[in-house]
Amino acid sequence: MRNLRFSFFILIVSVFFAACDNESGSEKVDFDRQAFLVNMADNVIQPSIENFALEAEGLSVATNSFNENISLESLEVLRAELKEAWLVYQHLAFVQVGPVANVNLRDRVNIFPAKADVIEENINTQDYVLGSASNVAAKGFPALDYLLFGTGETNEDVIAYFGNPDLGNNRLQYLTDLVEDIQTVSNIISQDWPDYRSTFVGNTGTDVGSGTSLLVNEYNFQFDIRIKNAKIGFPAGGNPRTGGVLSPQDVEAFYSGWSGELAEKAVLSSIQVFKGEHFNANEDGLGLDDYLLALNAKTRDDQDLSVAIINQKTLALEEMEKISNPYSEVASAEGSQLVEVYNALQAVIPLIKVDMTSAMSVSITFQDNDGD
Amino acid sequence: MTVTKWLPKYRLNQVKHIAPLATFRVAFGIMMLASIIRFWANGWIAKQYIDPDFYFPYLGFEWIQSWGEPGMYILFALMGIAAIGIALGAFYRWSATLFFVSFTYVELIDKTNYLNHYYFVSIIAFLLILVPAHKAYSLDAWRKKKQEFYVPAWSIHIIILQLTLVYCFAGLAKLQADWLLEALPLKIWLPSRADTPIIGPLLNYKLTAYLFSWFGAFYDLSIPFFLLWKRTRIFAYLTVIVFHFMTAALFQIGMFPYIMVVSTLIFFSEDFHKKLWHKIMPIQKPLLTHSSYFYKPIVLQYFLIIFFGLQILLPFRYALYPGKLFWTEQGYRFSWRVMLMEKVGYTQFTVNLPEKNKAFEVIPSQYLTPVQEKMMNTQPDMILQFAHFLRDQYQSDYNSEVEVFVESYATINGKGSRPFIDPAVNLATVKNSYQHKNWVLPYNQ
Repeated sequence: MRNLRFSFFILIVSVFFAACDNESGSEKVDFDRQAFLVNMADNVIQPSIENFALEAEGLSVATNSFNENISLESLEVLRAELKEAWLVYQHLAFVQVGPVANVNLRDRVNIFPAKADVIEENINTQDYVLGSASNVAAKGFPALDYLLFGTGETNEDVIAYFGNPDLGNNRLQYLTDLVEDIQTVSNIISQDWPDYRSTFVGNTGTDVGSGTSLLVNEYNFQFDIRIKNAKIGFPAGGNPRTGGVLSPQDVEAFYSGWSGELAEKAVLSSIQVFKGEHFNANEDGLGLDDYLLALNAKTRDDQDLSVAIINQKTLALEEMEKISNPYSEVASAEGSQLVEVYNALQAVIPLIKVDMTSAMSVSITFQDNDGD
Repeated sequence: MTVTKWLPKYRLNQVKHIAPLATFRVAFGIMMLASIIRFWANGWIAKQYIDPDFYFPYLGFEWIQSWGEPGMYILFALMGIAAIGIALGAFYRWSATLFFVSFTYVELIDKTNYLNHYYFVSIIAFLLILVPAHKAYSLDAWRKKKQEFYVPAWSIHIIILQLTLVYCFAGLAKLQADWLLEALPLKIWLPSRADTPIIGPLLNYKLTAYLFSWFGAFYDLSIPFFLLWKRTRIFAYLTVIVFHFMTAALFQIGMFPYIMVVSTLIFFSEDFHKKLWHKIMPIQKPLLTHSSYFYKPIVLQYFLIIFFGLQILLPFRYALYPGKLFWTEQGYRFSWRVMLMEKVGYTQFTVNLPEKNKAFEVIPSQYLTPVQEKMMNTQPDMILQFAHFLRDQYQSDYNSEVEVFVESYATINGKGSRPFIDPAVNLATVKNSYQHKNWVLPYNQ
């Protein structure tokens, strides 16, 4: 009897070691989540916030100059500043955590398409609160896009729009208010960031509210909903594969025609954030890619997940670079190149939303669960 | 012919002291009350049962709906009162019945919130209705000035049997390649908990995941028997405490560990529980042996055999369906498959109105809470329910024929995402049933 029990014990032990045979006993996940969070905070997020504040300031200065002297030159300067700020925003939108989330940056400055009728009504009545729900599509970059490009066929028309003896001042006032709102947002974010930083790097867990969890969830939301759907899918008729009513007017930056550049910048930013690339220098810090490598996360074809994600995004970027016209023009045609872009972006989604979140096993809720 | 003839050694009505059952009753009642208070304090009543615009009912239970506000709060308050009633043994039958009904009702509102431990609570609450756990050490006994210290053996044994079933099925479910040979999903989960105090750094080691997996399977399969056996009982119970507190520290599994820690006390001997009660209520002298419960419960016997027979069969119902269980989840619930897989999914719904040449990309978060969306993403029956919800929604909004397609991916245990639902199938016309879901793509296609 004792012999039997002993043999059983030996059997169990040997099966166990056989099971672990291909893994050496000391094999482990070697990743410093704290260092990762510190890199994201200090080399990715903070410089992005500072840069955004700087561009918002530039936008504000240019608006003041335009106010003082409405001319072709000051208009061009103002437009250039708008573009700079809008491009920089694309990076910050990927790290909507802490104070960036508190001001709800994405919804506050970049809900498109802008509602021209609401903007005009606000200007006419002079009775508006930019923070109210009815004005989400009447402010931020898309509203500025309308004011600086959509209010006249030619540059002279736009100048005349602001120089109008009756409404000119109201229009200038609205322009100033919009820019001020962006600047206020950027100020709040930069002021609050230092306080939040310690919370962000201090919580090295993967629960809800932890830096890793917030970062991953917001990153995925931005890529899926705000890039793939909003910038490409909706203008191309919803899901361009199944067809639908084309809505070229729904592109980002419809009036200026910057849709392509902004979307490319967004995808490029998503790669930079993913890699944990330092914002100002071309240095590659600890990012989500390194984390996935440490976790040994693989795709179905046994490729490194981090490599697959970067490759697929690069592919999407290449598809975007093939398009030279504004997306509104591209989207007007059935079976457009936007479908290729959409498909390339969609191929990223399972990799980041399914494989990446699974590998990192980040939580989205405090609610109890027993593992699906 | 009675059942007892088939089981010659087991005497259903063997006389047992009530003490273990009374301890169980009090402990269970207190745990339930604590659970309700915790649930309420976390704001989950609103979050799970008032805020959502849409719920995922169980097939056949669509008539069970949220009572909204303040209805749900009233329901939880009643549940709390019932839990107190169970603990105190006050108007016990009514309390146990009210608790069972209210608790089960709430659980049936939305599949999203399905947890094995809620299923466990429902079953135990149901069993408590049947047993005379209030005949002593209770308010009812005090009220009626009559303590009945002896209960028939079955009333204690069915609870022990239930606990044994839970552990054994949870253990059996672990006897599969992913769990034993690859230490999955623990190999994914444990490193994500590396910030846990003290043991945190160990969780990064693969060996730890293997140790936990093997120990977990062994524990589940053997613990009821070590608890039953007098010589190993104390050590086994210490293991119960360590095991469940460990899972409580590592995973977001709520009250389950604590419920199990107190529930397993019922494995302890009569004497142990008598001493326990003697310390609390040192007054009693044994009275009355035979209570009204010592009738020959023929109906009850057959009922219990069917009840436990069903419970033994339910976890195997998955075998009736083709395909990989973890992938299709046909027959996954109500089977004690706990902490068994890491599954994440993604769904994107497209609604087409062919008559109007319109197509809409649906963002599920507009209708669902984050938890609902997460759960739906991995469970085909919920995907279908949401597709039907969208169909009805767009049908009434546009008064037009509606097609619903879904592009969906999922991954199990980090083995790489793959297409989940057939994107060419119009879910608007698929019937919701217990039939095999052939619109779920095969795992290895």
